[in-house]
Amino acid sequence: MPTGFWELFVQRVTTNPHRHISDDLNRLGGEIAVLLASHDTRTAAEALSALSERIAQRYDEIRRAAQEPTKQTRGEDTSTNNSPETPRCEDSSIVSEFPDIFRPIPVPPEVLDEANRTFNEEEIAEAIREIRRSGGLKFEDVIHKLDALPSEPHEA
Amino acid sequence: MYEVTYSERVIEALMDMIRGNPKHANAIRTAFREINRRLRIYPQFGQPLRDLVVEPAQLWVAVFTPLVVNYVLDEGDGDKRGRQVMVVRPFVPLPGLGIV
Repeated sequence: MPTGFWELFVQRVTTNPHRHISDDLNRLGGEIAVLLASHDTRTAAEALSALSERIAQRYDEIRRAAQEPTKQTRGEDTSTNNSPETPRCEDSSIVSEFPDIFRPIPVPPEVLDEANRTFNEEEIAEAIREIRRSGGLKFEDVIHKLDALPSEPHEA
Repeated sequence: MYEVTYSERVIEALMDMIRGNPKHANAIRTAFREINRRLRIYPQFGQPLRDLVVEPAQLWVAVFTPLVVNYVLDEGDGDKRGRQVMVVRPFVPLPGLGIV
C-alpha cells in the first residue's frame, strides 16, 4: 500500500502529519501482506476477515469509551450521530445499535467463482415465485426445528 | 429493517446439512443465526453477484464461516413493495472445512 495513503489517513485522524506513524502503518501492512501471501487464498481471506473484525471490534470499544462521557456530560443522544466514520444508513440509530454489522465480510474469490459458475436464473426465478406464492419461511418458523436436530462434540 | 424469507428447499437442505454433519451442527446453526441477523439489518455485508433479469433485484453472495449464502436483495419501491431479502439457493459449506 502506498505510503501516501497512510500519510493522508494519519493526517486526517490527527490533523498533524506524523510521518513515523504512517511509516509504521505502511510497514505493518506490508508484513501482514507477506504473511497472508504464505497461505492459500481461502485461509488468507479468512485471516484477513478475522483481522478486520478484530480491528473493528477494538475500534468500537475505543469509540464507545470515547463517546460515553460526552453523552453523560452533554446529555445528548449520540445514537443519531452520523459522523464521517459512521457507515451511511437510512436509520442511523440502527448503526449505533448494531455497530458490528456494518462492515462487509470479504468473500473468497473461489466462492465467488463457484457462485458465478453455478448461477441459474431460472432456478432463482422459481424460488422467488415460490416465496411470493407461499410467503416463504421466516427465521422464527424454522429455528426451533434446527435447534432440535442432534449435534455431537466437535473434534478439534 | 429487511424482511428475510427462505424457500422451503433452502431450509430442507440446511436441515440435511446439520443432520449429515452433527459435529459441525452448532457452528452451522450459529452461522445461520448470524447470517439471518445480518440479512435483516444490513444485507450489503456480502458482495453483489449480478442483476437479475426476471426481477428488479440483485443476487448477492455472502460468507459467514462455515456457510456461504446466496440471496436476492430487493430494495423495494418505497411504496407497495417493501425491502426484502430472499434466500433462494441452499446454503453451501465453505470448502475445506470437512462439511458435506
